[in-house]
Amino acid sequence: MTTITDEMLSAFLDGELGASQADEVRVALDSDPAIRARLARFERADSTMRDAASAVVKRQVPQSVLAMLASNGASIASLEADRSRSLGRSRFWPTAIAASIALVVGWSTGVFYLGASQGNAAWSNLQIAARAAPGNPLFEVLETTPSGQSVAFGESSGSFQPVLSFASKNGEPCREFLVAGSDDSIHAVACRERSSWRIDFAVRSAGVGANDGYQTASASDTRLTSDYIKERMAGDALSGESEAELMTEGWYGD
Amino acid sequence: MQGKSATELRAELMEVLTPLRRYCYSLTGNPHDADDLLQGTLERLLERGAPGDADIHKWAFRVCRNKWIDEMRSRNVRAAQNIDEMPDAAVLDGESAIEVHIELSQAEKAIASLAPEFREVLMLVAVEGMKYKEAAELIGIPVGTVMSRLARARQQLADFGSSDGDNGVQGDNAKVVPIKRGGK
Repeated sequence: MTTITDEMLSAFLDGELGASQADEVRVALDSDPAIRARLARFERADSTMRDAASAVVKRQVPQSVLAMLASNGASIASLEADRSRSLGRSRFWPTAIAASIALVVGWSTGVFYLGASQGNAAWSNLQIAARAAPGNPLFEVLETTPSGQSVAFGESSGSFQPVLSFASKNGEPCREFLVAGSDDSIHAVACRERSSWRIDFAVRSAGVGANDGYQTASASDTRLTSDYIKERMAGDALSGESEAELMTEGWYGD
Repeated sequence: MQGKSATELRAELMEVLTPLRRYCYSLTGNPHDADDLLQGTLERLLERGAPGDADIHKWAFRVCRNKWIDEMRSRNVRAAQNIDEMPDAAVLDGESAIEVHIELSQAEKAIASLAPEFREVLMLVAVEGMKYKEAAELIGIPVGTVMSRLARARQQLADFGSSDGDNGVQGDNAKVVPIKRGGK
């Protein structure tokens, strides 16, 4: 009887042995428990490799890697384009909307802390707010609403709209969003922690006037927000597909 | 030959991200270094592009391998000899992986004990399902060598934990320490 070498046994396992040698191995396996035990050891080795490989890929892919692949190939200058594309898709909110920012506060009690100051947007309007945890409406919207889509809140009197998603330099997924009421709007940035969205940035803009059919944030407010994002973000804004993928993975993929 | 557009390339790379990440791991032997290698590989791929007709799976694996060899080369300051192939053996210092706050599973610890050329073939064949011939082409070695490396990889892995055959040479603080194995 031929000796069954480790190499033969190993190639047998991979289906890489010629027909005649494979037959030899089969005969040997039938008759010799020691050879069966050797094969079983090899199979266990393979499953150890598979276990390790699956443990490795179960860990979160670094955001820096995702950002590299998610970007649309344009440079950082594309941020403005991404933002305006996303914002452009939304409908503007009519002044008929009765909501005020107070409603926003009521809607998301304990989450938002809005600047009370009036006048032009300035750093004094910035407020570092708290966190939105699961169960909170803000959390739910940030969690699952694609950028560019608008969600009504309160009694359909205001809207909430994620503008874009990006990976921050410290690896967290973050989203810019816009809260629109009749007299005010808020541009804000929230970043996803393990189990909640932390609001890092918010700038409130007064409306341009009650008589206009719609309101826009002043250019300086928009600038402020985009400067903030540019400083924070690694790579480019995420594409729709990457954003959708992150969403289905609960933003951290495990 | 027109190269792939940046958008095409990114989309195709996204498709092979998971196998590529596993392959990185098989080379480095620890997840932390694997993700560094993954990042470096993607950077190189995006920077240099790929021919329009390139099979991205093969292309990316090859770039990954070259990137890793370059890294080993630059790390391997002690070895003055020419390393055209992989270093003879590189063994993970499991302790240092723990220092970077990654908790390794038992399986990962076992895999870390293997030399990279053994991990590599085992990953390519047993996990990625490559034929010997494909693995041989990627690595640039004869099919017979793939076969013998696989047998030894399985043998060593089966021995891990079942004997005190400690082939896990502890390096100082380096994460991956190329060593010369005595008598092969």
